[in-house]
Amino acid sequence: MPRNRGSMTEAMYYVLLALCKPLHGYAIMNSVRDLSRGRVRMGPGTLYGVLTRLEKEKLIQLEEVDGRRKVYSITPAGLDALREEHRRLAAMVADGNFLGEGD
Amino acid sequence: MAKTARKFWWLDEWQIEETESWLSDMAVQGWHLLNAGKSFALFVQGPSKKVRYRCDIFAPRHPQYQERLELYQASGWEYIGRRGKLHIFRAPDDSSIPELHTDPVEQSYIIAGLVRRLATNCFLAIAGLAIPAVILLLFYERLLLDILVDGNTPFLMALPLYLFVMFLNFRGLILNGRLYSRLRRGRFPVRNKPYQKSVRLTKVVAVLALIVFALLFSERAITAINLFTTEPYPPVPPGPLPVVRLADIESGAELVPAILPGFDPNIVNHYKTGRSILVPRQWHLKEDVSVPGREWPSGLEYSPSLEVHGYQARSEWVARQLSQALVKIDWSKSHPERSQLNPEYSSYFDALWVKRDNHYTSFVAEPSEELLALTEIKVQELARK
Repeated sequence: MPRNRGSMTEAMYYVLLALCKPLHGYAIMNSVRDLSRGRVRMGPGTLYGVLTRLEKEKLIQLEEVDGRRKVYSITPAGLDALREEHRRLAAMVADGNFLGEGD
Repeated sequence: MAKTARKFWWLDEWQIEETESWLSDMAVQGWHLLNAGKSFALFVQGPSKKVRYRCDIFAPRHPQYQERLELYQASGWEYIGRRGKLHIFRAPDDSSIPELHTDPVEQSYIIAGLVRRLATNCFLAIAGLAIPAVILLLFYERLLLDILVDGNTPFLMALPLYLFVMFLNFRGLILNGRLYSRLRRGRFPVRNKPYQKSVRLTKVVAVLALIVFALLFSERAITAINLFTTEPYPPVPPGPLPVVRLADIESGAELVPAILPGFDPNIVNHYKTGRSILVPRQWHLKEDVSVPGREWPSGLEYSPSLEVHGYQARSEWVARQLSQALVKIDWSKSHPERSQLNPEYSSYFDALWVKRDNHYTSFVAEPSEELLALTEIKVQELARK
């Protein structure tokens, strides 16, 4: 899987998170924005780049074609990769928790 | 009705940052892209506007194609058209509409595909040059002679255009390699990237390639026209010629031109001139005569013949290449045992190759200008020897 320095890109992580529930393109963009509480506004070019790559790597799959719109969902392999990344990120946050002690 | 203008795409399909910058500048000047053709961009005149143009690369035959275009438009990006795989979008210069690509590292995967395609093109272009290079090595003298004397070959004519396409591919590879590194470092593409220098360079290289091609093509065309419009065997004119003729050698003798029954009377006695860029003056003389009252040692009527190819080259270097090629093609390969450098006449020439075969003597002099400077006296001196 192409990763940035061994990790997922932020865009990949959020698209996989969003696709824990089957969604079409526009809904994925909205879901990413909601999941990140407005912090991540994903451009359509980035979204389709990520979708193409994730589908090629079999981390997501085409669930159904709803009219012109295609609905995607995460695969078991995608879910494993997402959990692994989540663990890694959680460990990283935990390792840096002392930074917040002074607040 | 709004005024429209067609502009040639002086920027390559893969000059993404420069293309975005040029289109945005055109919009500021009041020219808004209406349609992106393969070679020309169509603009329509309107009020000056600050707008963002963005280019994205994806295959038109991709299953998500239509859905993708619709999502781009739903996100606020107007689809204008495409040049090959390069799709062009426009949005107001307004931060409420997010960029097409919001993650540089993700975008780098797309540019990586383009870099691979350009690298393959460059490799194939170099491999494509290797084929004529091998042919050139194998038939160097033959090709050299064709180029020098006939002016050019189809291969040579195609070369300037081929090199121009190579230049575009290599430049695309360098520019996109830089863009790829930038994106991998997490930085966005350069906005408002200057494109003027790049356009100027493309224009200069394109114009040079076209001029060279036009010169080579017109020369080839003139040669072809001459071949069909001029007499194939023009008669030998009386009087002195720029090349040595039998009258110079057989001084004072009565020369009766030979005639082959049933053929053009000039087929064995003719005189032609030619030209090429590197060898602008060329002469070909063929004489076949009989001399009444004189006999060969065998008792048959004396019938000398002479065939001369004379060349005046643009430079001594060209002359040297030409004479070397002539010696190798005409003698060294077919009669290696008779190829020799004869120092006998070295006072007249820089170099002289002489081939003798009973009644047949031929020579190549280098440089060829020297041969042209040969006076009648010198010819006679040479003949007496």
